[in-house]
Amino acid sequence: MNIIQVTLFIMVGGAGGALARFGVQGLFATRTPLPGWLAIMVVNVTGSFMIGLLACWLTGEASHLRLEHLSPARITQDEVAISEALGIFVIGFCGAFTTFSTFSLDNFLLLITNRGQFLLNAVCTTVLAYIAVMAGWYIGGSLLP
Amino acid sequence: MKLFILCMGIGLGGGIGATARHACAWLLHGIIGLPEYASIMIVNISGCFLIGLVFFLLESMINRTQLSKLKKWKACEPLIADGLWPESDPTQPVARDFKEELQAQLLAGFLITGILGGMTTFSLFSLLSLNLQQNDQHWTAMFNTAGSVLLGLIATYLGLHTGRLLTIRRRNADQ
Repeated sequence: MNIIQVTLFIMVGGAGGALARFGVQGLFATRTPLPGWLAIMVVNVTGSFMIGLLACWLTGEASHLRLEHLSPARITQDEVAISEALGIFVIGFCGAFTTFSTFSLDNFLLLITNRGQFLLNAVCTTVLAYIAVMAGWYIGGSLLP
Repeated sequence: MKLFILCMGIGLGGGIGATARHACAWLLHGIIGLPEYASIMIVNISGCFLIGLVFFLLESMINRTQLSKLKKWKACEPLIADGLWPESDPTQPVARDFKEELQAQLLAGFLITGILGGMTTFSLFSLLSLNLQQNDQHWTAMFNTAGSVLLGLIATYLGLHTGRLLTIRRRNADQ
């Protein structure tokens, strides 16, 4: 893939991810009485699950298994290129869907207003996102033939 | 219509942010040769600094209808007492005008939700922590997780502080 293709895939993925996050934030703000930092937590945890699952399918050992499963003649250049393009798109989408800066800003604002919620946000987001990415990776692996 | 313009701004910002992240990660990992987790950590932490700065400047410039959460920060009290915070000046009208409100929302959506939200990432950070853990680099994984959260918080604080200093400096220049 050349640099223009990579930029295009990253940009489209990033735009979609940022809009999806804005949508979830909007849903939380208008449909539920829950605070804004919880929306960011949900976004970060689900985004981590998605990237774990997709990383397993696209880059991990599972993807080699998937490719080995096919006869060598069927692994065309196109197939490798599609896999690569999807990987770039996922880096754009999941990367932009989840956010570290808003998480950090929420942490600071909670630190000056409500220490208990600050600890809850900081610890729960980090731990749950780690569990989610692990779950995504292993579930992704177990779903493949 | 308003939502459409806002979505365009956020989408554009998200695209730019994600491209900037990929370019920075490629520069730090591919060219300089830092490990992958360190390049994402640097991008995340610089994004945290920038969000602090941008958030402070926006909050202190835009006259919002709701109470700004930053007003509870002790370091802001002298600013509020000096009337540097727009809400504390009753002669200034609140942004009720459609155009003015849209501009404020668009700026916040483009810069914070779009560019900075798209640039920093939580998913890649967790994925790289998992990769480190799978490669039996437990201490590095711990450092990545705890270090990113702590340094990100410190960077946000420094960003907000820089915004505060800039606001004070602008006031002094005006006088």
